[in-house]
Amino acid sequence: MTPRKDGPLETSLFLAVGIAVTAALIPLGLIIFFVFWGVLLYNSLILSRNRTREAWSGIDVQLKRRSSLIPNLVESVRGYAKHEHEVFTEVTEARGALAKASGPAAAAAADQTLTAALGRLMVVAEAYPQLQAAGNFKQLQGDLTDTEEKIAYARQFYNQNALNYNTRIQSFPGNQFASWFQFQPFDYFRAEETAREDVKVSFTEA
Amino acid sequence: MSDLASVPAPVLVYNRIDRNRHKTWMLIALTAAAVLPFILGISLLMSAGVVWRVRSQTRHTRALIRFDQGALKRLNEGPRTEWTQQFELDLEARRAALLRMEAEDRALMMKLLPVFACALIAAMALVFWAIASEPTSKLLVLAGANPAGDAEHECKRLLENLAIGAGLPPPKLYIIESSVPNAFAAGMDPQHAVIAVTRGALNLLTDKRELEGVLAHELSHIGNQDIRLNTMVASIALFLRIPYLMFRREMASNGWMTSSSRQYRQMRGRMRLGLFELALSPIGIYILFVAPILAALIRAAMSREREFLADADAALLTRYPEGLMRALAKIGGAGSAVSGANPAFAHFYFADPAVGGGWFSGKLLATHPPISERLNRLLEFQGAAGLAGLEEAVKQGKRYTAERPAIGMESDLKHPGAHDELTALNQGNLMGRVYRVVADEIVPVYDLSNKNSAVIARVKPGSLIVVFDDPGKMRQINTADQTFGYIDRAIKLSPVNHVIPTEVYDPKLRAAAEAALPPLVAIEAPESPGVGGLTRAQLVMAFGFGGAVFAGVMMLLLVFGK
Repeated sequence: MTPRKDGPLETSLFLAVGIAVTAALIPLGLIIFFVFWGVLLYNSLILSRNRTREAWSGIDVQLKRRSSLIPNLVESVRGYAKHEHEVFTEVTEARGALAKASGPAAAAAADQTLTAALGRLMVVAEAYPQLQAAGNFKQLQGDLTDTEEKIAYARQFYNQNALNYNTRIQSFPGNQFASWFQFQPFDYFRAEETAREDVKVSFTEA
Repeated sequence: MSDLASVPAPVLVYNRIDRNRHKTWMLIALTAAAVLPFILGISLLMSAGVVWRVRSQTRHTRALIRFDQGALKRLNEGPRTEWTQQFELDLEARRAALLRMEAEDRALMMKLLPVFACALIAAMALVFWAIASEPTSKLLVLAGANPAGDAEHECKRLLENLAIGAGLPPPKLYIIESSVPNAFAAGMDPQHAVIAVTRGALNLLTDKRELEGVLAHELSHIGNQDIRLNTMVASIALFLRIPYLMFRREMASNGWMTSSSRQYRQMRGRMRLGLFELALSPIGIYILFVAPILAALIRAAMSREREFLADADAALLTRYPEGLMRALAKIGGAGSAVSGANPAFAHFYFADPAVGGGWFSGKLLATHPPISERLNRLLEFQGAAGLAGLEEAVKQGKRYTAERPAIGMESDLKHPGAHDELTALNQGNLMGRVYRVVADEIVPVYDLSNKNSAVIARVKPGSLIVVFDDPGKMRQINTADQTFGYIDRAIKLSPVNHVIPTEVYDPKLRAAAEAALPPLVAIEAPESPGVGGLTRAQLVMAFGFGGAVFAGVMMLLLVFGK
């Protein structure tokens, strides 16, 4: 192979081609980078949203569990205090309202009403020492307190997830994605801070 | 933005969590920096030893030169002859040869160094495997834990509720029958995590909120993946301490001095002299003394950071830091030294389990921050409101220790030598390990270790059995109704790491454990214990690792060797 001599023309041609290729590659690389990054961001938003939904179903399960406890509780109180019709209807109505409520905000409000109604029911029950002593009632009361606690924790978990998700879709650049792909913010499941306390206590103190 | 403000979220806690995460990464980097010279030092020593052994010629040449120098000196005292001149020339030639040989030795050492380094990294992986393959059952058995029953219903309920708040699957609860208040979390992932609480903690923490604080702290360890990190840290710290522990054991042993064989006594004595010499060389000082202290420092610092983080998370989870603060104050007052706790696993516990007065109770090497410091950090979240009642809690803890019933004292007798970390490696599960039978047909259990003996029981496929670590021809097992017998080694078993033997023996707990297991058909490739009692996964891992190391060595030889 004979050594080749590069002329000035060839060198500059080579340079020009090199610059052109680089100039074409840089935007291409940037586009690929942004597309890749966008896909990652979109997927993480979806993950965050699904987690929040899952957390909401956690609250829902506990709310249903509490609803299912109520008929038995009402029946056992009714056995001793037949004439307190108002309280019973109030509790039953509140329970029905909670079952119909959809979405965190509405559910939280309905839950609030039910908690207040249950508080009144417990005050009624307090007047009957025999009822207080009945094993069945005690068991129901314990279950109810446990469920209240579970709701409080599930609420906390849901709110944390919702806070995380909402922050992401409200801050840049997540907000751009949110508007393009219609990510909606979640409502928080708000309850009075006393919800963690025993129902009976919270009512008598108020 | 008003939505955000209304959700109770103390920003302070989030900041602290972020800061702690950052520090942990720094500590991991530090660990790598400590392990690297350790591995290099040991491989340097090993390759030097091999070169010394293999290239005896260099040694002999050096000795000859020394001899010749002496002879020449004596010759030079007399008149100079032709013979002296010839002698000098010979010596020069020999010196040149020695220089060449030494260069060759160094080249050989450099070739051997990467080989030994690879082997040591493989050994580290094996230590990690030994700890990580069954940390849960090992920790539980070492601590003497039992699954929680109906009597601990309230504690279980609290844990379930907290798990809802943390968004984790509820971990299994175990009770350690010890009057010392303490707790730990273990497991390799949140799905199989366990939390163990001592009976003392249940008795001392009478207020529900206090127990909740402790459980939330352990749950945060699970949520933050600390349990896996703790396992890794335990294996790295143990790896860095192995030479020191072996040296200490060797120094402590003196049975050889009374041996009847003089030759043996001389051999051991010479070996010990060599060991001393090695221990006083710079590399020896690093390997034997600096590295283990560094390991303890790193483990302590990492664990301490994680304790603060878990405290902060627990405060966030319960939204009631006073509970955790009171629990800490009570446990601080009562003391938390668990007598049976292995130091290698000390950083798993809620409060420091190290017995006071030892090396590990010092401030720098302690795996847990002092309780007062933990309380101070919690006070930052709570404000001064949390202070009230702490004094009283400390007093309650002190009173508890003064009048506590003496239970759990036998744990020391049960596991003699549990205070040496090496036992965490070479002590098998004395109580046996839980396996699941993955055979197609009913398995016969023989009376003796041969198949001609009587069949004393039959085990259905899918049931749980307890297998003992015994290298016999057949496997020693205990069936669920505690019939001891032997089964064929060829029978396919799959390990169930998060269940301990006591659970298998109890019918109710066994039913619960079996219900949590996947159906038999779902297990695609049943892990059969094959050669030497290793499961297939272990064999694949060992061969894979060996193959990788072999390939690496071959490549290194190809690159560096000519």
